[in-house]
Amino acid sequence: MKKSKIVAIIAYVLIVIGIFVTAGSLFPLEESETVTIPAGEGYYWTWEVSFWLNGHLSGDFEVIGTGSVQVFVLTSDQYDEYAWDLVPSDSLDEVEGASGTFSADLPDTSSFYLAVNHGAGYDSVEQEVQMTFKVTGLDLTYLIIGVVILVVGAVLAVLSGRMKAKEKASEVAPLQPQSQPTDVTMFDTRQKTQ
Amino acid sequence: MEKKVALIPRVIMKGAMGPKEYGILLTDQRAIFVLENVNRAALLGAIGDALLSDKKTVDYQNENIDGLVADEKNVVVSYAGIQKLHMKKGFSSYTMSSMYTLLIDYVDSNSKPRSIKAFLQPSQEQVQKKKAEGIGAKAATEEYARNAKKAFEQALPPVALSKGEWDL
Repeated sequence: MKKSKIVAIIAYVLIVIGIFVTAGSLFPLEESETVTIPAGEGYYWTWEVSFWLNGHLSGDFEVIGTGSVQVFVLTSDQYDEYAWDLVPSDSLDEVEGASGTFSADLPDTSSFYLAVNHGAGYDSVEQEVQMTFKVTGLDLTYLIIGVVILVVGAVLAVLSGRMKAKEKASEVAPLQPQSQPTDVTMFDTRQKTQ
Repeated sequence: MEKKVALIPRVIMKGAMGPKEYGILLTDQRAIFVLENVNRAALLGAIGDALLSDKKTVDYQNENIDGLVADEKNVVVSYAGIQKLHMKKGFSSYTMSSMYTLLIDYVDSNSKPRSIKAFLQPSQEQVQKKKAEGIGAKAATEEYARNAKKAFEQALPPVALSKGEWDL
């Protein structure tokens, strides 16, 4: 197989992957997980969501067993405070209960955090919580990776075209000089009757 | 017996799926546009060009005329059916470049009016040959068009030739 064809096939595969990855940036991120908060003060679970354009985080939670939990949606600065003593001065959303829903717009492309910790009075109990959440918007990580793959694929496609032209040029002249006329050819001018 | 008069080895015609490459075999009775290469590059860009273009080699010197006429992929223009033949230089919005264009209005074997538009474009090999002789691509294309005109003048009977316009 000629080099240009191999490069063209790689380009084709990259372009197809690039299209899928780029399209994937529009699909929501969905997670569902059961987490265990160990008995004791200061334990929490957290999920980081970053680099979404026009993002929105929403979901629900349910304590499996007894007690309540606190769920926060936090900016990066709010999370720094939260990680210190689990008491942020502010949040994008905050819910406490045995179950509930949460929802917040993610105002920019920076990092945001979803956090869950023991509810008031349940620090000493091991708690199992079912967390389900969804992030919608434009996933810039996927978008950038997809575009990069597409660009690499396109560059390889152009390269394969040039390689093919070179291969063709090097094949034609020395190997088959008489194979096919390239200029206008007269077969028999004596046939013309005026 | 039908005689082969001349060959114009490469013209480009617009196709629904991309450009098509034809060679024109001029006999003393008709012009046969022989499909040589369906370039599907228009769909897939350079990938298509590398993977899909498929050049057919036709031995015009020895190929049977009736065989070429019978091939449905080829287009046959009988000189008796020519209404108008126009060769001109102009800008092509299809190739976005200055091109020599061949326009033929004719009636086919079913008396149906038809027209053909083809761009007279020498092959890359021909341009390279001319470059090696010190002739630039533009001049090589012009020379190719003039030779194509000569070929038509050689092949066409006077009645058909009188319907020709040459703006080269």
